[in-house]
Amino acid sequence: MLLFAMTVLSCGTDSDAGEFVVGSDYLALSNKVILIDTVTVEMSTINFDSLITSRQSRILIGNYDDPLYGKVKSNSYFQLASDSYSLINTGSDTETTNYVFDSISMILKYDNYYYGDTTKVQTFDIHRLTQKVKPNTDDSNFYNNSALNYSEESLGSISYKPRPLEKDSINIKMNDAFGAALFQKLKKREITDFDSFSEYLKGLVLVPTSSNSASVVGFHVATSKVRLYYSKYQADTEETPYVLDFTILDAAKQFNSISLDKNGTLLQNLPVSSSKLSSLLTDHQGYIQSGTGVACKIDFPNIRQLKYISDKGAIVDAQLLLKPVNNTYSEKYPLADSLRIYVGDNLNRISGSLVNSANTAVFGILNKKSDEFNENVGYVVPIGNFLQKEMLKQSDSRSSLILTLPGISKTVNRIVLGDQKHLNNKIQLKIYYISY
Amino acid sequence: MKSKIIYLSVAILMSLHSFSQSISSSPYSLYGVGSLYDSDFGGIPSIGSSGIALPSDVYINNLNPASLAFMPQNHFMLDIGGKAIMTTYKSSSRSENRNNFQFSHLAFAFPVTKNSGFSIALRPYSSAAFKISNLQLPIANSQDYYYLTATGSGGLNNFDLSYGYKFGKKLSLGATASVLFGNTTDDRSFLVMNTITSIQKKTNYNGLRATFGAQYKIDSTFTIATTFKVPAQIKAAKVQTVQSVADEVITAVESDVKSDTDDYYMPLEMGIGISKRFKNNLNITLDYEKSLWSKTSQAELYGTFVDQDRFAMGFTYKSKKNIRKYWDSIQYATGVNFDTGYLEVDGKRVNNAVISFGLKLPIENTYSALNITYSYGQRGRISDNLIKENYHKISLNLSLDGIWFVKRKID
Repeated sequence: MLLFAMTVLSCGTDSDAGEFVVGSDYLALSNKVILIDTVTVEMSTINFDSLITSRQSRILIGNYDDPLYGKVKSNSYFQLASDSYSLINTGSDTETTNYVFDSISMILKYDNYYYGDTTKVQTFDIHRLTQKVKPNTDDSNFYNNSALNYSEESLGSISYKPRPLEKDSINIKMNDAFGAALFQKLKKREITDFDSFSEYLKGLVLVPTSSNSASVVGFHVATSKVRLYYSKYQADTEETPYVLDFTILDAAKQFNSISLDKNGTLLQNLPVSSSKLSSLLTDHQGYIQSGTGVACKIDFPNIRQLKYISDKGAIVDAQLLLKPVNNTYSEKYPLADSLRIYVGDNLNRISGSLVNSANTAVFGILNKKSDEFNENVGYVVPIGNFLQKEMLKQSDSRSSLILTLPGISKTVNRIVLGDQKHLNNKIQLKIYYISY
Repeated sequence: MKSKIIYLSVAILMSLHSFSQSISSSPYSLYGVGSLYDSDFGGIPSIGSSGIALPSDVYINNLNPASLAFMPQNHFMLDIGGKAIMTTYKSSSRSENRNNFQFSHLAFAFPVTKNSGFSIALRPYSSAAFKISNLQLPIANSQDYYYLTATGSGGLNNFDLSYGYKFGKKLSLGATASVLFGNTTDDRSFLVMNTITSIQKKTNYNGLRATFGAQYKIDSTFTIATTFKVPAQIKAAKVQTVQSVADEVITAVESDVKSDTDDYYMPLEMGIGISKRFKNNLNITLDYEKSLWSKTSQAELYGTFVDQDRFAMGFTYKSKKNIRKYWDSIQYATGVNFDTGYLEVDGKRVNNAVISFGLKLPIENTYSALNITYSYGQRGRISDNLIKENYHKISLNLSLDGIWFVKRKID
């Protein structure tokens, strides 16, 4: 019985708070945690075939000459429609005949988006489409490279300094002859419904002129309109005129044709969408431009060699720090707050967003807008999960990261990033690796 | 007899079970296969763990198998022990007390012939219990840090079979076969940037080691002795699970992967000792042991090992007066032990110094006795990466002696 007592006694012990450690160097021995920042990162620029620009809820209009990218231009096409195709009926049938046309205007509501120098005058014209707003492709979408025929004649023109944040809208006086003709069609009841209207007026396109080229501005699709003013024959001048509004009721029938003339820039040899232009040929820089489909591609050609650092090891975390090149951004050409990151293959086919371990999309987040020498301004992308999978991949296929800006289909923002050999704004890859 | 064996087997089972729970938690347990237990039998703890030259006449001497040859005839010995330890851990910045109770050993021995004896012993060999909370460590090749939290547990056990044989009246030789077995678990989690990596490792050990010993009685009061523990390789195999926790999702990197790991090597250890009795009531023991740890091909994984020197000295005193008076039958003992340690941490040895005082309290009029030892020791030192452990230890060893196989001489 004594033996029992002894063995039972032997069980008790105090708890250990773990505050005492001997030999921290030794602890780092069996499991090494190291930072690897010498892995090769290749940068290149690619060009997406086409981006869907219909249903983006933005009339994007303007052009500007970009010293890095070339001439950027956005035409905006749309089809108009109205809730009603008849003039106001105040009582007797005879009154209808007494209305007269006053004027016609296009009212575009700013949606606060702008890019470029809005202190300079920007000019664009309104043209009439000579074909219906109907996609040429099998699907129902329009793309940034879609275009429709329009008549040379300008139905209205505006030269203005955009005030997208201060003002509510701009008003463009349209051709009286165009307005009067439309009014007569309505008055004579030759246009009574959408079909007859769209047959008569197939659509409009806003085309910026190349003479005044400074900025690209966005307008609301839902609230912008063409307004027809009319009034009673010999009405008092104080009497308010009647209006008939034509709006873009079907967002699928509005799109922006965004083009880029790269001639004379480093990007002029940008190859077809399945190929890439190495940063070695573009001053150690990678390019991203929304709207025109220019995107930056990042490859990690040697990532699998990390397997051989130790017998067994894992990438526990990794950060990619992408730095915008000094003097390529300014107040007029601001940096986006984030980058969208996709995973693509060697032919630039996107398989999905870059995700973390929880399978939620991760973005590149701008760490700060600016600092004294802009040395540390950059986008931080957590890519530990991605690289660990790439490292362990059995097949030969390697995945790349494809970087775009938010609003790829409805803005013309752009950014220039430095590669590993860039003089001032090197891309940095920090891989935290543990051996086990 | 039968009931005794049943009690014994139950006790063995119980103590095996308690190995897993009697934790001696020391920051130094991180190294090797853990901190080594000292689990000496009988009155040996009282005399500074010296006694290579002592015979196994009143208790089992675990230091030298040759001592078994001097077992009294027809006696059956059993030794069981436990310890209560209060340790103060001191670093340059803080101090903490921890109390701990642990099983020490269970052993029994009996003479085989009138010239030889045999013993079986079970004792813990090492404890790999340690704990580290949120230790900040530098990430190699960077200015950043990571945080380590770790828990170690388990340890190795020692199962000894010893035999001693006497050649003539003076010389005895002995051998021990020790089976070392057990496992250690080491759970670590690394917080690196925003990711936690946890590594759970269980390492199983087993190996065999031989010890040879000799004792030579120069005269009835003076004995010299030596022991050789031969180098041994303790085979190690691990089962490991690695997981990473990022974005609140657990991803398995590897699950229960079995692999061989670096084996643990035990060194050649040589000891010499003397025992001399004066005036029939004062006995002095003196031991020196050298362990050639640096000659082993120990893997870096276990730490840096250096040759170890161990010095031990002990005195026992028993009154010669009236043997019938209980107080006169008590034996008093004291000893010192200094050990340079086999570990080197950051270029500094982890040495150990102990002073001990003990009493041997006979039980009634039998040969059985309760050995009580108080010892005070210091281990390590305070410096940047080292800590000092001051400990008070009470050891209780119960040495039972039964007469066995006594043939009645008068029918």
